[in-house]
Amino acid sequence: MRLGTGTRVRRPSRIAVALAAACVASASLHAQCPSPGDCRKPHGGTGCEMPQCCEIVCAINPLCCDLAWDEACAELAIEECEGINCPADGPCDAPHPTPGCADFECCDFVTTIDPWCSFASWDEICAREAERYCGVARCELPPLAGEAIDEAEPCYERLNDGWATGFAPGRLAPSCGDRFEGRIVSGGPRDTDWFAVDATAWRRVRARVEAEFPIELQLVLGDLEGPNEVRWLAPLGLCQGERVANFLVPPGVASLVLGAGDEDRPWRRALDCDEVDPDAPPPDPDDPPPLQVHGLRWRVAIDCLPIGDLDGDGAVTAADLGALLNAWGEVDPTAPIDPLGVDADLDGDGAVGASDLAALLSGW
Amino acid sequence: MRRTASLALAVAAANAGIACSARADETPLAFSAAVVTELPEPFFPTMFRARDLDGDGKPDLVVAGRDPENRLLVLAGNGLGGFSVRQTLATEGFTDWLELADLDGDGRDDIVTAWRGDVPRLVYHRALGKGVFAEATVLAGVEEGMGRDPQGLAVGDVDGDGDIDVAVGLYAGQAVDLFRNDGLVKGVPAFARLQRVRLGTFLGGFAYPRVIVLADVDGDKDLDLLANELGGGRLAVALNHGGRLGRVVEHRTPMIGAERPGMAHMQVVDIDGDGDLDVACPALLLGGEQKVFAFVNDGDGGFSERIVGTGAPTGYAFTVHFADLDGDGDLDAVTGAALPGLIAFGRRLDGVSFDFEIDIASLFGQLVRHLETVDLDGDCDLDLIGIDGPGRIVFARRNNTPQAGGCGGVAEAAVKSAVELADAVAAEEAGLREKRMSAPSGRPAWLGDVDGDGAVDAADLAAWLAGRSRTERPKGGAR
Repeated sequence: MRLGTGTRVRRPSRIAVALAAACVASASLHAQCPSPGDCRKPHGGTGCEMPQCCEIVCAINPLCCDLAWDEACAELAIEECEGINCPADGPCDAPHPTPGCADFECCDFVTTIDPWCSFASWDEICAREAERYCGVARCELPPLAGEAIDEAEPCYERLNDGWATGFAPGRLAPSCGDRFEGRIVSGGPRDTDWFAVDATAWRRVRARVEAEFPIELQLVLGDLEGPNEVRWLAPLGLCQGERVANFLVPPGVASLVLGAGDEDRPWRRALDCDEVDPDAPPPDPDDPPPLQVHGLRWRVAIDCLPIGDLDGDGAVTAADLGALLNAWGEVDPTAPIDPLGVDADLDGDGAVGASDLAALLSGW
Repeated sequence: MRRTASLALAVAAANAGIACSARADETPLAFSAAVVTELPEPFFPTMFRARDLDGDGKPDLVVAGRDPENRLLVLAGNGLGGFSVRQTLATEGFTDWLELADLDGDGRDDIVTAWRGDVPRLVYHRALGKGVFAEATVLAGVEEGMGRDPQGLAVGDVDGDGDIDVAVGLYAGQAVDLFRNDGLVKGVPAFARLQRVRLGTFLGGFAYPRVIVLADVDGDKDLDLLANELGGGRLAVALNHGGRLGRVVEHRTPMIGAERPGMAHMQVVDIDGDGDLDVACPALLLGGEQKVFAFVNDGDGGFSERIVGTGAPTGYAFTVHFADLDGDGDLDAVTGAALPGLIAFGRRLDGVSFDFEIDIASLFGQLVRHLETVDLDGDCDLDLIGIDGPGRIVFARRNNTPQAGGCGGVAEAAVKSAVELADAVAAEEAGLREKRMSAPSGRPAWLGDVDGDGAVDAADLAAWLAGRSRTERPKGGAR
């Protein structure tokens, strides 16, 4: 199964193409970009404060960088720099009703991963993205110790994407103790990788997950036809090392879903596929290279634990008993389930009680 | 064949002027020709609410829309299906949806809407009385956590504190924001975001929530959240637990033949008369006749059972409105379709099955986006009001169907319109034959993957239609 033509590799943005063209055409002007002064208003200096816009305008009219940023330059900027808003007024870490923010590096990064922040308004999601990701260096997964099963999904295909796409459904089928590795890319449809963790009775699964991109991990209940319930969604952060989700799976079809994203939204950009699809023509040589603001690789290890192993250490002990007693009582149905925390409602009846205690003790 | 029989019965009954004596579920639905009200250019109406705003006993309208001149329209009704602009309210962006509710507790229903666009905002227009409203007051903006691209919204007391809260569907944001009413501050209701409920988080494409409803679907006397996902082709349900919304359960549209339909609209209504609320939807299909379908409530807010009924004979079903049009106690269905614009009146054959006889199918406009029923003329039956987006019009069709309940005025209307009815039915039949020749036969060549799930299907057409502000088709791809 392959993606349709045009969905395989994210198309370069207009800004990126324009910037690339400008860079080629006017390398000698770079010294003036950026320079102080509002790009969209005439001012006494040469160049202007928005590097991308400055490059574009000076490529068209070199006098804007050589002589003065006059009315004609400002008009060019208004025409040619639509959607370019870095830097702009407003703090990066606080919402404001205009696009862009004051710190160019941070603004540039956030608008790359989230175009809304570039053309619409710098809302609370943009502000949180700035706090989470600006200044965070890329991280790489450490060398793999031991063997892992390859996901075996070229990044231009969608083979393990469960019920996420309009293609034939597919899921990875782990056995207890299996370890997988693979990649996640953005594009349309965005890539997700699904692990079948179906159950015939309540059971406990531990997933050890690490990735080079911000991870959005979900437990999705139900089959292709639905209904589907997202029992929990856990953002595991960027470059956090191995994170452990220790969770209960109710009877039925259940899928552990790995994707790029965070608590606010899925990532749909900036993790481009860099493989050439042999069934598709090679990309235009003038296209910019794939954009990958972070690495694409992930690893997931799936273990099956005794249902009473609340702390996920591989055995049911007094520590688990203590954790269960500590959680005794009604479970708030609106409180999000934290798969990184303790889930003691072993039979899923909405309360931690005697039946859960019995289930725990049976596995002692 | 059933269609022909029904038409013949309608003509015979109307000519005889004795339709009232027939059993209601055997008497075809009969409606007047459309009374059309043109809206000012370049207004593109998307939705409306009908209510008697000025106390004259005649329903008035408030119309939301996509208007480059940034307007929200208040129309006064004349009681005969005609409307005139009473007030033009200023907006700062398109308004796709609105609701009427008393946000400030002064006893008058205010207009609640959301401005779409780059700077999204939740606003209200305070009712001043006599059908007049104040200009907008912003209730929540970007600084207060207003999400991306608000379109649908719903009002109701979610937290049970006695005032009206607002749920806002975020089309681009793939979520619903729940804003809590914290009472008046300096005479203006103060709102704070209580919760954001993300939708379609496991989808590779976009969920695109459009219609948002607050209703008690699990019978516990509080308001639960329902949203239709155009892109995801799903009904999302989040039950209310003590004033907060719980985890979302998403129900998929049913397979109809070899196709899974697009779901551009929904109405929460008791479709099977069992006392709980079901969810009725138009089934937009790329091939052949359109359908209606319903998610049937199991009484606890579960909607696993899905049923399918007859819809519009052609066009692409975009909206549907269920109401008892013949007074026989069960809900009939009016479907609004697009390309071609069409209104199909479906008479429920009985209260048990989900089976409809299409008594009238009228070509009308290009995209019938929204339908409601209300008693326009005070004759104790439900008349139809609708909008055609590209045509920039509000239309009304008065109900001439004999009512099983023996409503006053019905018999008179039926007699007076007997000749008109016979002519209209004949015209409908001729039009229907013509329309059937142009029934959808597959995927339009210009349709692209609007919802980004990698496949081109009916959900894409539903999302494409929902996104239209003009009538032109794209030259290539979609959006």
